[in-house]
Amino acid sequence: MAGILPADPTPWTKRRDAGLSDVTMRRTIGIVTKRFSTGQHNVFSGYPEGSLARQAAVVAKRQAIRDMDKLWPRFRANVEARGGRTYYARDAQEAVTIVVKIAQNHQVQRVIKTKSMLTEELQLNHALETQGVLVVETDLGEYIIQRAQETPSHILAPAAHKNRDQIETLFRDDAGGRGIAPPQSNDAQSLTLYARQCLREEFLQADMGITGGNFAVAETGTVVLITNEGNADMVTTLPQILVSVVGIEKIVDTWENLGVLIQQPAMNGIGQRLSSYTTFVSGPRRESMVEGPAEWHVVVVDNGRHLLRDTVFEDVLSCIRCGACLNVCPVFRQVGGHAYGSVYSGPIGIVETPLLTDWSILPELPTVACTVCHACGEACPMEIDLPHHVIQLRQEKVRRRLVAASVTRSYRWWAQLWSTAGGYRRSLRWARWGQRLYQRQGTLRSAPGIARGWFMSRNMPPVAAETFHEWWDKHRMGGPS
Amino acid sequence: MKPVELFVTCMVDAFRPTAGIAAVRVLERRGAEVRFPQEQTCCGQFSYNGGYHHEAAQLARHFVAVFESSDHPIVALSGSCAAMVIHEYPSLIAEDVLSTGGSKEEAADWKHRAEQVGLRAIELSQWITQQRPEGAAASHDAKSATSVVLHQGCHMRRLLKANAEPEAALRQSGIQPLTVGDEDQCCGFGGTYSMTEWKVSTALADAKWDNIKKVVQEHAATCLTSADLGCLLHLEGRQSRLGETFPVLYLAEVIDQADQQEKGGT
Amino acid sequence: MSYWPDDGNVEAFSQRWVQSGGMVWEAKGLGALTEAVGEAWQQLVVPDPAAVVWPVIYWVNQELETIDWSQIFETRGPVEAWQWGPGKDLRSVASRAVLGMTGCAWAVAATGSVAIYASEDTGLWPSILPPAHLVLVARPRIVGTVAEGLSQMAGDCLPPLFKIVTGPSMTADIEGTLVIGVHGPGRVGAIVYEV
Repeated sequence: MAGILPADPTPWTKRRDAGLSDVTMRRTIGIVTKRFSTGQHNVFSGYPEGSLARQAAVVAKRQAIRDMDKLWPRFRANVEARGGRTYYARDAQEAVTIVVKIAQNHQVQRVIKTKSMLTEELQLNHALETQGVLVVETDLGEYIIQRAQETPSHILAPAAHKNRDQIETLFRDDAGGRGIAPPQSNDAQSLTLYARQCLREEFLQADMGITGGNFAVAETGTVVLITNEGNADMVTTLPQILVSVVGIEKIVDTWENLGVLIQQPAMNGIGQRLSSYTTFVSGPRRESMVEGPAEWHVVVVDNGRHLLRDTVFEDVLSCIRCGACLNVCPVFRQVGGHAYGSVYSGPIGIVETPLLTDWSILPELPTVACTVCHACGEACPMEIDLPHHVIQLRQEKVRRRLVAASVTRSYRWWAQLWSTAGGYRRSLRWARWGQRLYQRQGTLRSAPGIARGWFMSRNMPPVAAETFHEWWDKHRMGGPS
Repeated sequence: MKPVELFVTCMVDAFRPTAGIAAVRVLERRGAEVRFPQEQTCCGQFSYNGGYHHEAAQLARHFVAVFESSDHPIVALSGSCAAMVIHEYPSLIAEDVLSTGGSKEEAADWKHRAEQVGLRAIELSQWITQQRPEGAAASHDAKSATSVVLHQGCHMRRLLKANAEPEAALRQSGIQPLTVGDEDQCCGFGGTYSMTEWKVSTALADAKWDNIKKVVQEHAATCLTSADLGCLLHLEGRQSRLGETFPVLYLAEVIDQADQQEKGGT
Repeated sequence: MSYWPDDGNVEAFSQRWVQSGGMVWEAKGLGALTEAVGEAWQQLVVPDPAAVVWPVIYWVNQELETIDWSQIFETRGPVEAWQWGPGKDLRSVASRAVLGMTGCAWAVAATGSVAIYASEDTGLWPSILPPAHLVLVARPRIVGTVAEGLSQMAGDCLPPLFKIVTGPSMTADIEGTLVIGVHGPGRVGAIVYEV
């Protein structure tokens, strides 16, 4: 069953141009991605145990994906045994319906949330808000973009596209609306303090918390959350009702395997050995306790995950959402996360978006957002073969006729001609003859067909009066003298 | 004499044949007996990266057939094309044989043939440094050395993992290679990507030039060079459109010039 | 000089904890421990001088329960010390407190982390709601790696909630600038002790 993911209806060319012309965003994204990718590089040096754990983590996660259908019932049984409630949602719609119903059953008015890419994928906030529930994102980056009514532009740094001045303006407007004191200045410290004060109130008032799940452990029915801010600790300890929305691919079998995985998101995402807070939920609180929810609901979501099983793309499900591939991607650094039009941006996004939805949204992504530089393949700690997946998806597009017929004809003709020496040489002679029309001052300034785009911004030397082949024929035929 | 087969690449052949001629001279000065299989055309990477795998496989099979008759090294004038032959050919061809109705035996046979050719493929600077593995025995002292900005292509860096070779090959000729900031970032060429997504491709070229110019200003470099002509044509084409003229030379051209100067000097 | 020059775990824990932005002290014996808590107070606690009371919320590991912690804190000013315990809902105290002091179930050398369980006798709020958190780490409870620590969790003793703390609450969500102290404490200290 194909997944349902949100898609920006704006065409790629407009999304791209908006990204390229957003100077602030490009500057900020440049700083953030470089800091993260340098951090990833540095944290592994002098820490061989970290590299060994990473290798073991790849094995563990691959096996978990293989065993997905066995791990889910085991996870489910253990959550229930510890007093939690479990649900399985085949797609986004089912997941949203389940969560909305839980909220309605408890007359929930205020929800606090940790950052979760899956809930972005499900557009859960929107569904709750249409039912009159106030949903407050508690990760600082998410809080910022929620004030701006935008979507995250980076898996780990959702507001990476915004600068301090823009954030200050948002918070000033926010403070005006609430009748409270605005941030003292536009420095990161003051802005953070403002958000801390606002969110502290939200934490203490909320009647339901919603989390995602970085990992889930089958053998005990545990959901694991990773944050640096500590917001997951608030969300899991304060409200009476807790809902954890977890992708089915997040379940690993044992604590032993969790042990090799647990450091990888922080090491590869932000260059720390472990995030400041790793939070483990294994059930509602005992009656004699005060911290933790009275009810814990765990919604496990497929939303297209199973489509990738038993295909060459299965390794994509090993993604731990560290964002390392985004940080090194040259295209991402130029256009930013919003240009992708999908919840998932960067290399993982261009692979995952068409696959999870069976090509129903944003089929242009594999073609338009990758130079095949292989930086993502090198950066991915889970060894997901992103560059080859991009190429394979392009092949799949040709197969599904998602490419203009004229382009396909050009490639066919090109291959036919160039798969013989005679055809190859003939084509260069034709080009030499034809290029006279497009030449000025010894350089080509335009061309028809596929090559047209090149000349929108660059020149090109013409096909030489004497190619290397021709030079060799003339000077070296019969071998060196 | 060390016989080598030259794979000149379509880009050098058509757009910069002088770079190929320079490579021949560089190879011969280092004891190579250069042979040029005249039936050669293109490695097919343009089609492969574009998703046209059947079309790419046609070119790949042609390449294998042209180059498989000897057991000498195949010196490629591009890290990216060499990587295509070494890393992509075997499975590309085998999968194409199967998807076009060929038998498993046929696919396995083609795979083997492609692997044998791939084992012999080597990029030019890799070949040069292999001849003098002791590395940077520069014949000039570092102070008087000419400085050039070295751009390392992505496939050279990540698929061939040949990060040191272009630098070492330049140093052997008494040239001081300079790396640029964000050196691991793609220049935006990406084969047909440079045509289909020219805006992003150009933004990347401009970012690359910004970093190159910083180095040039600091160290008075004389030119930009790389082991991949594709990146260079893209970067040169961009500055040419902007009316700028900083020299851009393929690696063999830089080494060839240094060779000639050395000869003239002694 | 370390009290335990041969214990690599103590050294590694302290080094990593400091690297994450925390402060660390060592204490051998009860006297040294209470002294270290006094020093930690000086460094970690920044109470509002105009405030009438300075609430402190705490719990300690069993072996330290004989100490009168309230008295120790009260020498520091108008402190109102609240001990975590069964049946008490100290959420509002915790959110007003100038300091939360806790023990920990185990600590990790390789990452400089401490694990804290939620239970009737041990709470998480003291470690997250106040602006400063002091954790008392019993030296024998320091294990080498996170995996070693987690391997204890598979059994029946698994609490419904627990967490691993590795440094102060922080964010780099605004232009990648590091800011310490977002929702949780911005000042964190650890005392490695043995009694």
